[in-house]
Amino acid sequence: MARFHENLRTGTYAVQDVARRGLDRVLDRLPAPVRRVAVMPSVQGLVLVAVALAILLVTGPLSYPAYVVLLICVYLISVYGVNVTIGFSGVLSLGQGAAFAVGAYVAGILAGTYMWPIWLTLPLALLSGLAVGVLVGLPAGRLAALGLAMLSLGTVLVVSDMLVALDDITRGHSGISGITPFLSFDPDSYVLWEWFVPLLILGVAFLAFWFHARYRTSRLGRATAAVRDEPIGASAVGIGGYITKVAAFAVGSGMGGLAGALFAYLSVYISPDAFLPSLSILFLVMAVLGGLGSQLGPLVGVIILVIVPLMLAPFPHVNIIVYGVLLVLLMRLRPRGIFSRTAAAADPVRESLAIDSAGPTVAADADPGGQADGAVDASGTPGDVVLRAEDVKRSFGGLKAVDGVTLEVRAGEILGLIGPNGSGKTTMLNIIGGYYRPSSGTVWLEGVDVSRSRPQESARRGIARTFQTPKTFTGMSIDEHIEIAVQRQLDASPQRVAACRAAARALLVAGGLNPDDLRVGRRESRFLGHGQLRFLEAAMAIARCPKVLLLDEPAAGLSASEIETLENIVKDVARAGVAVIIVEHHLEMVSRLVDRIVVLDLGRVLWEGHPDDLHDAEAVRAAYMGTV
Amino acid sequence: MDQFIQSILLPGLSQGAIYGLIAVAFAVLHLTTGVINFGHGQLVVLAPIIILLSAAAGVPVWLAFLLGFAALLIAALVTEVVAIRPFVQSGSAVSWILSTFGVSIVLTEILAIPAGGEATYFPFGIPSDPFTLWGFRVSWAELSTLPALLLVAVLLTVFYRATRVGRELRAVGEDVQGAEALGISRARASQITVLISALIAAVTGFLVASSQILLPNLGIFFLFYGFVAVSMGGMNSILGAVIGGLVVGLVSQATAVYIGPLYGNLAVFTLLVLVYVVRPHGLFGARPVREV
Repeated sequence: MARFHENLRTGTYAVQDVARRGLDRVLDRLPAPVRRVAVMPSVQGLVLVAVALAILLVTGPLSYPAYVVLLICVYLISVYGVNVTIGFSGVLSLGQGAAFAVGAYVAGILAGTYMWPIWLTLPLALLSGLAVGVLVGLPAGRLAALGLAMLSLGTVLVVSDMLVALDDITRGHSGISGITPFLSFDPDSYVLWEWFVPLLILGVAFLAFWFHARYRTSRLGRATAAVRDEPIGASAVGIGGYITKVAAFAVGSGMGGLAGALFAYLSVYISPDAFLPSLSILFLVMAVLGGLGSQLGPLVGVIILVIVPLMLAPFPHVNIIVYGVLLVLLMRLRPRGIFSRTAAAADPVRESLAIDSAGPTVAADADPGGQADGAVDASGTPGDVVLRAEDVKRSFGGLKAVDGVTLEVRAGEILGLIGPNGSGKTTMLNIIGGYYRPSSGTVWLEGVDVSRSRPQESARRGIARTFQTPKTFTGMSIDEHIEIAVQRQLDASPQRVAACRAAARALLVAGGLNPDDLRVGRRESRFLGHGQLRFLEAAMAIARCPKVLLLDEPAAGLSASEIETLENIVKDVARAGVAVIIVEHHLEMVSRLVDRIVVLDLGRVLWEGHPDDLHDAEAVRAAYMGTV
Repeated sequence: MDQFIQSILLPGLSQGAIYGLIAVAFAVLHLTTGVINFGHGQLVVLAPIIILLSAAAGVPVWLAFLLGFAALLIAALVTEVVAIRPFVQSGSAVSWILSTFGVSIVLTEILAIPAGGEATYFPFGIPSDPFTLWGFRVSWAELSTLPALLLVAVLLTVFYRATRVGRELRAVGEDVQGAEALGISRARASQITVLISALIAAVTGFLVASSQILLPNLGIFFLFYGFVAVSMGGMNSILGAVIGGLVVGLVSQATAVYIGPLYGNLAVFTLLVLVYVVRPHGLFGARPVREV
């Protein structure tokens, strides 16, 4: 049974992968302008709208098939909202129905009771949905998936109560009728044209499709997906998680509210019975079935789950049982849905890392700014102190992991941090990176105290790092990883940028990820091996062109030739003026690579000096071997 | 004062004990598997509804009770296999939330088929006829819930502290891999916890059926109220679940009396938000250690 599941899962994903690769190959053969147009979300959206419009033209705007098409479009807007909330940011909202109901009632009351114009009711419905999302999403910083799921479920219960309780404005169970579009506050300005609402719905559906795709490829959208996949890795490139989640909640609910308003205009009459808790479940199952986080998943999910229940309509209850069974089966057999690809389009690596786009490289040698930036001068001696840790202490309970360490590293210098297991090396890196706050002591980065900064703040000030186990973003392509890094590039001279980008390219090559191959760049990082992820993570860190680069055991698990490549790349980066701190057990590599070694033992600095003198230091031998 | 005791304290505590029982079942399951069963509310109403249906079909009452209990156990075990065991201590909350949610949808809808979603009165429970005790109008059905909750909580505390199986279940919750290395089966642990929570659901269902009208869609409210109670206490704490349940019961009863019956959900929702703002890990919960 288990093997059957496994085969089914890997088998279907493999089929999908082959299909996608085939499609990519066809697309790659097309001339560049055609290819660029074909993958544009606006063009895809127009195709969809054209299909829907064709059905409407054939059947007439008031026919039953037209109603089904329009309902699909309305649900599509709402489910693309669910996909923004759940698919992009990974937080579970069970409450899209609440936003939908609020939007429908805002539009319904304003248009049906007060006869407000449609150009005012739709934006207000959108805003009210947005407000619901912000309210539910605000605690996202403190809550895990379960807490948010329950908050959103509670919202659904509360909203459905309020629809009845506030009956002086919602008219309780009798509902609101006569919801017609008005063009102005004049009650005679209602629109009689039967095509008005259908065309409006098609137009908004197009906008929703386009906006959803653009949101994901925007700077915020990529940050959102990065936090979803690996919050710690995201903080290391300067992305804070909280705002991405609240924004995803707000935007997703806003789309739900807008869809609700269109639903009100489409139905003309609304009552609480149209917004039962099962509506939220429907939206959720649509998004999950299609594939959370994918571009086309919501479309397929909505079409299937509107058409199938219509065919099941003669059998009451079966409908809803089908949703439930689908959810269970999906989670067991195909948790990533029909469309499982979550990576979005991004600039190819070769363009992101193109050196000429960063500025004149030839002139860089003559650029006086290069020296002022603290780059290494001709004699090879290191520049100014970039990072200084002063008497840093950190204890966990009674254990003093770091007990009064002082160290500094200069621009262009490579500092090796070694010591036996448990000597406090990684803790020290975590304090410098902002992951732990020191119990006492200060960390100065270019004269600024960063010891109280959060990781993303330190990362934005100029610290980049790698982790012992690579913290890359499983659901994003290699192109996206590099684009995220390059977008968050720290200010540096053109000369240094050129060196960093060359180094990042070299790292990708060393990891077998040819930066010039478009197909490699589109691969999601979940399909990469552990070693490849290591190189990808290092390439991201270096592509940001940091002031300080922290490498945590970069050589672990690499072959001798890979280590040599890595050494050369790190040397190049340091030569360009980046201060490097490397934690490593591989002593030969450290001796060859670094300018200075700090030996830690039991949280204190045991010895400091040039690597050539390391083996003569008796204290070090005692710490490593036990006796001399 | 008498008015307060009669209309808020007594019904609030009685109803709160029901929420407490649901919260305790959540705590038991979450402690070992890390999962909250979104279908637990449906398990609570499942047995009484089956009993009613069988009795209506002419089955003797004792057999109807047996059938109801058997149906509850089967539903719980099926839930365990399809929706809980694959995700024991997996950390991927979205997967188990969605799959147990799926089970709860199916159960609600199946229960709604025969009754058509209609409310039903359960004649086989603890007598709910009111009588006067020290000047207050009470009924045995109302009075029995709080002692039942306390009894269940004490039994469970003893079970987890003093028996080998109880300690093994806690070990699985602390560290699955470690427990498995010691020869404790993850699947068995998940099965035992689900059975315990099903037994608690049977008790809860009997008490609920005795004191209030049965509706298939009560499940979602039980889920929400029980969850608020358990998160107030701190997900894995039985004592916390008991206190949380009673607080939720009192708050919703007070709101229903002073503001209006439709505002009970709003009050409990507000309570949940307050818990998350003031003490996200609950009264007795530990803040998780973050690891880099």
